[in-house]
Amino acid sequence: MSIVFIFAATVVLVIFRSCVLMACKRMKCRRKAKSAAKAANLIEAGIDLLAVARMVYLSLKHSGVFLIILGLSTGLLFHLYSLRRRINVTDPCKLAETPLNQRLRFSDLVVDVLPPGYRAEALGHYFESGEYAEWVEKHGEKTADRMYKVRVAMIVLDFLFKDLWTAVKKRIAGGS
Amino acid sequence: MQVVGQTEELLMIIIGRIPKDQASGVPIQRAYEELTNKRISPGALYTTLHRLVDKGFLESREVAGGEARRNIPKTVYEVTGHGAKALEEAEMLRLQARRIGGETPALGLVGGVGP
Repeated sequence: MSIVFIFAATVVLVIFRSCVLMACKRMKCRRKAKSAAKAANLIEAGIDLLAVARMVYLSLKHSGVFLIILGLSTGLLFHLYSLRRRINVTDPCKLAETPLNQRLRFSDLVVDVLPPGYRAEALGHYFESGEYAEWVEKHGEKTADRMYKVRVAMIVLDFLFKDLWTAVKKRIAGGS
Repeated sequence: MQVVGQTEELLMIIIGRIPKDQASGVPIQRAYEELTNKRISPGALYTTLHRLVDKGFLESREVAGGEARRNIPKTVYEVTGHGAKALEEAEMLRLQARRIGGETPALGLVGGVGP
C-alpha cells in the first residue's frame, strides 16, 4: 500500500469528520445528531488506524528521517486520539462546542500507547523513588494521581528521546 | 576495545558495589547522586543502563517489584565479565595517558593559571 494512499485517505477522513461534526452542531441534539456522532466515532477510529499505519510505514521505510517523522506522526496521532476519546455519543452538541485544547489528554495517550518496557520502568520508578508519596503528602491523593500520569508521560518521553538521540548519534558516527 | 564513557564507568562501579538483586534503577540513581552530588534524570539513567546492556557490559533481569513499586516488576543489573574487563582497560588507559610526556605535571595548560 503506497504512502500517498494512506496520506490521502487520512486527509479525506479528516475532512469528512469535520463535516459530520459540523452537522452534529447544527442538528442541536436531535436524534439524528446521535447517529452522526456515532459515525464520527467510526471515522475517528479509521483515522487513528491510518495514522498508526503511516507512522509504522514511514518509520520502517525511511529510518534516516525517523526522528522527524515520528515527531510529526505522533503529534497528529495525539491530536486524533484525544479527539476520539472525547466524542460523547450521548451529547454530540457538547462535543462540537468543546474547544480543542480542552479535549487533549496527552498524558493518558503517552501512558497507553508507548512501549510497555519503558512504561513499567517509569511507573515503578515513580512509586519506588517516593515521588508519588511526596505528592500525596503535599497535595492529596487526587492531585498525586493526576500528576502520576503526567510524570510518567514525561519520564517515558525522556527515555524515548534520549534513546532516539543515541540512535541518531550512532547513525551519524557510523555514516561518517 | 570498546570505549567506556565516564557516566558508564561510574554506573558500572556503583552496580558492582550494590548487593546482588538490589541493583535496580532507584538505588543506582541514589548512589550516583550521592557520589557525584549531581542529579541524574531517570531518562539519562535508564538509557545509559540499556546501552551498557546492549554493549554486553551489564546483564539485566526482571524480578518481583514488591510493595514499594506496587508490584510492578523491576529490572536488576549485574556487571558481566566483559564489563569488568572493560573497567580494567579503562583504568589502564587512564594510567597510560598520564604517563604520556614523562612525569611532567602539565595537563595541556597553556600560559599558566591566574593573572
